[in-house]
Amino acid sequence: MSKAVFVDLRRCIGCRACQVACKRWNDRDAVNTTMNSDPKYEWTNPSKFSPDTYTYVRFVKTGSGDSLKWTFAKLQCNHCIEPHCVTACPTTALVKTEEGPVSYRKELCIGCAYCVNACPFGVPKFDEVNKIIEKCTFCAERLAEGLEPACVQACPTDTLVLMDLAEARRKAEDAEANGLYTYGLHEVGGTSWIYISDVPFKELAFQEHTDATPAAYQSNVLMKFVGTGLFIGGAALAAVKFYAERRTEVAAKEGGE
Amino acid sequence: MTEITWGLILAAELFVSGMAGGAYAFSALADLLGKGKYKVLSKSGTYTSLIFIIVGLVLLIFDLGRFEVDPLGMLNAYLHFPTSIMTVGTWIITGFIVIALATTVLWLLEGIEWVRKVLEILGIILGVSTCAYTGILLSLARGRLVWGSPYLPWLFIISACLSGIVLTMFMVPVLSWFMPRLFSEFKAFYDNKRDVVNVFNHVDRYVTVLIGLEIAVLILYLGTTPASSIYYTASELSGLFIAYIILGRLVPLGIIYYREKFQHDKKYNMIATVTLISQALVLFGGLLLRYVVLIGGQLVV
Repeated sequence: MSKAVFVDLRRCIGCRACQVACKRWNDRDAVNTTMNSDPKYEWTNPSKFSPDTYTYVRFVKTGSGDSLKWTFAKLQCNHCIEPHCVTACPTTALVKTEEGPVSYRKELCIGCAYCVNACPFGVPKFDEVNKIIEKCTFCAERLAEGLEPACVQACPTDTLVLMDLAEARRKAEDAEANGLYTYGLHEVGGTSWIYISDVPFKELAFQEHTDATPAAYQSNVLMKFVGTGLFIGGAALAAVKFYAERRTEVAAKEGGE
Repeated sequence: MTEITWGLILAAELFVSGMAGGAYAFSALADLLGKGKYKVLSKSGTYTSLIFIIVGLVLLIFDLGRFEVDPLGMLNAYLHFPTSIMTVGTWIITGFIVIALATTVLWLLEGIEWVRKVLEILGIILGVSTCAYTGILLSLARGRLVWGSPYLPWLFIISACLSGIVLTMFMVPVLSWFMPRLFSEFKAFYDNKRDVVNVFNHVDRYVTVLIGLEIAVLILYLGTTPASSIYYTASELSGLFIAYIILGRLVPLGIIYYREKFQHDKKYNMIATVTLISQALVLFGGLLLRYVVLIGGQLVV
């Protein structure tokens, strides 16, 4: 059964326990960070993914004065249902598992960074030192042992809840019907991290993906025709060659006569 | 929030690989359909394609930077067939190297002609696929808005064929200067400047058409792709983009056009020299195009 994390941003208090838990479980080094240069997100720290930052919490101020509102949004790999990074990866280092995670086998990575350019959410990051990529793995090894991802386990407010994908989608659809905003339900064909919020995701600086077609779709379609295309091309060229030779022969014969 | 993971070395790799594919396709077609008139060009294109596809491979290995850590790790790139375009490309380039090597050996040994011609048919398919692969690779990278255009692969195919044809001609004197004994046939051909100019004139008709096509597809690409103005508005790219258009494409077109004038005066040495300059500019333009597209695509999120 495919798993998902249902993220209710209305519950998040911005404690960053998920960030710390992720660092500890994945043994990631601390990195020197700065406050975000945009005043709207200035308390976001760290403010971007890096090879040592698989997840971070974006602090967003909306409104002003009495209507000032804080919204905290945890970001990580969204674990697309049809992930383009998996399609792009030439080595099968990235694999979509039946349990939901886009898991990552570092030992197979050759550092081509195609996934970095293929991901519609800008998640995989290239590690310049080790020449491989790094990204959140949904704690696939913990899921396989029946445990929750480290960040989910650390969340004190149940902002992050692990559940079956079908249930998460149903809850998000209900939320949408009740006037809330969702992210991950439709974007790029759906993801295994599904958000609900009372603030539009555009205001939270989530990337807009109005197309519900999976990012891997075009690639998958094209790949089906590779063999056929090469065969037809070869046959066509052979025909041209045969025609050209035949024409030369006929011309030579006619010239001789 | 931009991250440049693919830089100049990868741009050079895309350029030389595509150019090698184009050079092979051109030289093989010249051999298959040229009735023996373009033997020197056929040989030049075949040798050149082998040299440059290997140069591309070396650049790729250097760019990945993992050879010292895991020298055999690159073999993993063959694993995801036919799902990953990069794996498909790896197989295509591998096949192309084998075919280019076999054709080169057959040319050098003056081996069995029909075998060479069969190899050439296969090589054209793999050569053009190599040209196409570099553009398709980028256009399928859905994280980069500016690359996601159906015109980009066509732009790269046309550009690679153009560069391949020009490189084939350019390498005739270059190979004969560096290795006159091994390429004595090239030297003899190039020493007869009148014939050289006639052959260049003939081939430059195709070059002119390809430059025109490339500019037309470029206009379509820029006109239909959101945020593609980054190529000529970004401070670090605008100068290079202008250099690509003017130095890499318009100046060579001008040289091809005005060369006719000198031909009437029979200044064949001068024409050959000016032609070499225009060929070098076309090649430089091809590299600039790859660089601008590669970097520009990564500047837009």
